[in-house]
Amino acid sequence: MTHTLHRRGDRASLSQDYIVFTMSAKGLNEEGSAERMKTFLGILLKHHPVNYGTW
Amino acid sequence: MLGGIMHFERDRKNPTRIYYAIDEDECVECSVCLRSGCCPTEALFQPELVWPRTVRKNFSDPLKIHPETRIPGRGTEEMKTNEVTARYRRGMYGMAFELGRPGVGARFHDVQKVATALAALGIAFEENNPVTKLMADRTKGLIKPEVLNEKVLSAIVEFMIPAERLSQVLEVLDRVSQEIDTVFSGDIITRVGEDGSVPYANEILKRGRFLSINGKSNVGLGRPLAKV
Repeated sequence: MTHTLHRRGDRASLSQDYIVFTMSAKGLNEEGSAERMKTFLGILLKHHPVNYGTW
Repeated sequence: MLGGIMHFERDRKNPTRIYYAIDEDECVECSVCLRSGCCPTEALFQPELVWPRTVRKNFSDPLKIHPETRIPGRGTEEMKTNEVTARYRRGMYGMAFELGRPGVGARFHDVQKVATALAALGIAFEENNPVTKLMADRTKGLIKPEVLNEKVLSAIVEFMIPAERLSQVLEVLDRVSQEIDTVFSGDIITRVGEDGSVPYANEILKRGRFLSINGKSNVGLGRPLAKV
């Protein structure tokens, strides 16, 4: 819920409000995840996010 | 107490000057005031924290990596990595009870009320959850005594149940929610049906609750996929 605390309004007004995030699974695919995170952020930038890179 | 961590005090040497003082008993150590740069005289500083006050920062500062979970703040991986961990399977519900929100907060004696009520049902708490790590007795849901009066922005009691126990658990959560002195939200996690249906929806709506617009969906892009 922390990622969506900015939301105010009804379903219709928020229909284009998306939070997309990625996370490594600790102990499973954590190794090398920094580079994959960079790739993810690069993809995100192509779509002109309102905000990005925060927890 | 909403927004009640600061109050005015008058300078003793120069009574024409007033300043803000922070009530450290109400402060949850989120560090938002520090990061916002809201103090024009830069008088704010982070005091050194010692146990058990360190709990406040670990749960409340979204930029603090929790030493136990290695995740920022009070949360866990829960369903965010489910395609890789397979933690939540069909027929099971992951559940959580979140106490407190920004500006309101929660004390651990209220967290303990929820945990003990659930423990009485024989509920097993999520191992990788920071509240579980603070329990002195997981079978009874008892939090370490020195932590009970600590206040945090929010804390999550997390557990998993077979789907058929949902009604019983909701009954207990409805009751205990009347006994705590803060705001709360309930979380429920499950695999959706093959047709995209949400199996718990009717039970929630039947009890007069609503499904929030704050929900999360795991779309399954993680690799390697869990073997199920």
